[in-house]
Amino acid sequence: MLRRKKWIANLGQLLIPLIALALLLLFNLFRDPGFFAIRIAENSMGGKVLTGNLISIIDSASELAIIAMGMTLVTAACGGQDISVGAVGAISGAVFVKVLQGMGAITGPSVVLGLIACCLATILFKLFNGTLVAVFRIQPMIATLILYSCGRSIAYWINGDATPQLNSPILSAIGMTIPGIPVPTPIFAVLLVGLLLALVFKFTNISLYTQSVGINQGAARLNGINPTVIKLLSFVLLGVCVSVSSVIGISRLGQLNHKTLLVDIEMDAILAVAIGGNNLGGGKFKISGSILGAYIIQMLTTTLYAMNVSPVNVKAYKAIVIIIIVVAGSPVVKEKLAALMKKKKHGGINPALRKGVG
Amino acid sequence: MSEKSGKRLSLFSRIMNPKYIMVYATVIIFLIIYAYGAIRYGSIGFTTLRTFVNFFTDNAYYGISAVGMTMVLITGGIDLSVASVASLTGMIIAYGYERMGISPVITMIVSILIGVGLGALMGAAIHYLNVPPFITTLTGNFLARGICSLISRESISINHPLIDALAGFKITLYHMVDGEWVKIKPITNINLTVIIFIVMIILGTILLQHTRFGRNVYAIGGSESSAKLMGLPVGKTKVAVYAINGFCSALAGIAYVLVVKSGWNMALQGGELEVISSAVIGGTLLTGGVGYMIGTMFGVLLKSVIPAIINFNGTLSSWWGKIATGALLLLFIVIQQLVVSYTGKKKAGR
Repeated sequence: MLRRKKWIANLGQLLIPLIALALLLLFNLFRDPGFFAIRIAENSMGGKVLTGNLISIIDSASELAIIAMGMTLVTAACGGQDISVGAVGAISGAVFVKVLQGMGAITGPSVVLGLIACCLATILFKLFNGTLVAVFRIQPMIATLILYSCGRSIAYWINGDATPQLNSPILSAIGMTIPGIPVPTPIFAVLLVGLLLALVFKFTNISLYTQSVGINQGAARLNGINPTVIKLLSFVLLGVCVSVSSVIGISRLGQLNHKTLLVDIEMDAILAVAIGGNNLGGGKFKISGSILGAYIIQMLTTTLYAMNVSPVNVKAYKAIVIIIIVVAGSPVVKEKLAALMKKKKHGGINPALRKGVG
Repeated sequence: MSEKSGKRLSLFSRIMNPKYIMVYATVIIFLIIYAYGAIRYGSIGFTTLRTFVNFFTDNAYYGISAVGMTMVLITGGIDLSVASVASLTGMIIAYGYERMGISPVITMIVSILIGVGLGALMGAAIHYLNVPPFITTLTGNFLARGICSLISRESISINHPLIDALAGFKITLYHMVDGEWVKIKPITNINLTVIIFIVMIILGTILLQHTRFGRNVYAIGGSESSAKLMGLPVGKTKVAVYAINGFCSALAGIAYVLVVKSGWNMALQGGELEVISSAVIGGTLLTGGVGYMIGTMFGVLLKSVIPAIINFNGTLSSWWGKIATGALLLLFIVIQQLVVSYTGKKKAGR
């Protein structure tokens, strides 16, 4: 009994997203056991790749998962969300394509150079956001509203109104699969970014500092932490995540369309953070929760597609599920549930409850 | 005598109150941009009354919605569902008449009720369940947009005499020349949408400045816990504010229908942030507690005057309008922050 309780306590905020994921999986199991089938098929280039709904869920949630990681950090440090990730992702993609076109042929070095260039450009734009938030103390959502509204215009300005096609084995290796490896590459990208962040958190105090800045900025400063630097750092890390996502997004399609690249991803990323049980007001955070949230959103979308719901109708069903998850995770309902469990245990004679603590 | 001068001083200090600074900044920047347009493009018709009235006409539906949004922002909340609710309204009217034969009068009333109901529901979730406004209204956005798509996925055009009559309703402006009333040239018309917009601004001003409800709204935005301790009806007020916002969104949807005469599930996409940024440019503080309807009106006008200048120029791409609006937004947000820290109201602690 005690051990079980401890196990649940360790899960903490991950409990609700895990239950949601389990329910979705169960639902799919009853609906159509074939949903889980994973087959080996040949792709257009003759290589063997794994296909199946599960693989496609994990694969297509990659961009969202990577951005959700960065978004978690910004949320934790600044107590607000960055709504410009999609637009800045378009800028980042425009820079990437510009560099590739400037170099002529698409080769290994030019892709690396493009990645570095678009990383730097994205970090620059994110530092602009970060400065507004950390130095001018503007609410993150408003500070990022500026780039949200004009980011795609800047992308247009960089790259013209064209939608350049990029066909290259290197890009398809990034966006789809590396020849010889049956697992889609974006999955490895998520693992890589997650691993890097985990290593950074393991060997530095950034995670702790971010939490303390998010919980109480003044107290953090008195303890010798510079909140401005921590907030800027969270935006820089988000910038790196965004540029990686945009490169994956471009490689997946083999073209750049600044109007549709990473479109609407900001809302999904924020939802992923919320579904993962993170407090949108800042403070304590769990990146694993956000990644889980991203996969839940994608799972939901894919399930609805599998049920022949058309892409434009998905939003309505998504909203209903999100309402349930958010309400179940809301502080009031949690307290009520906790009170209910207590009541059961004490046989309904808990004096604290009578006073209306619950 | 002394009483009179004392009264004048108080009026002066009342006008120069730092709380109005943002509104003045908006008005001044509007005048500067307008003056620039008048000097550069005055010869090709920028200074005509028609151009000026068009500033109202262009974004009237955003303006109507911005009235409700201003109130929500003053309470310290946010509403991301406005554009979807407006789009849903258009869809209900279009589908109701074209596919089911229901009179637009009924569907208009129904859609306004839906707007109010959805708003009240979201307000209740925000206040009683403590779900952040951002998430609640984002799901409201998804829900309304999704229902739109469920109803129909294609644009439905509306051909109903009432809609045509309302859309065609206009007041032509006259002026006196040599003791005779003649039409102003070029012919200037005030549409119904502009009238609704201005009426809503006036009603909003009265509601905010001259009623107990309005003072409650400001009090909640200033400090919700203080308002609660003072015994103000925080929950009721917040639910009412979101319900009013739902009403404004539905009304904006009707105004949009009068402009485009059709319902489309993807109509007004991204409109919620247009509305929010209009209110912000108009001097509404996102942390709550500060904001004026008249400022919001000038915010909406500013958002029409920039595209107008780009139109009159003729060579610039429309993308520049968005970049200019972004730059303007940046300017306003920074000015706001400086004003806030200057007046010592360090509310934006986060």
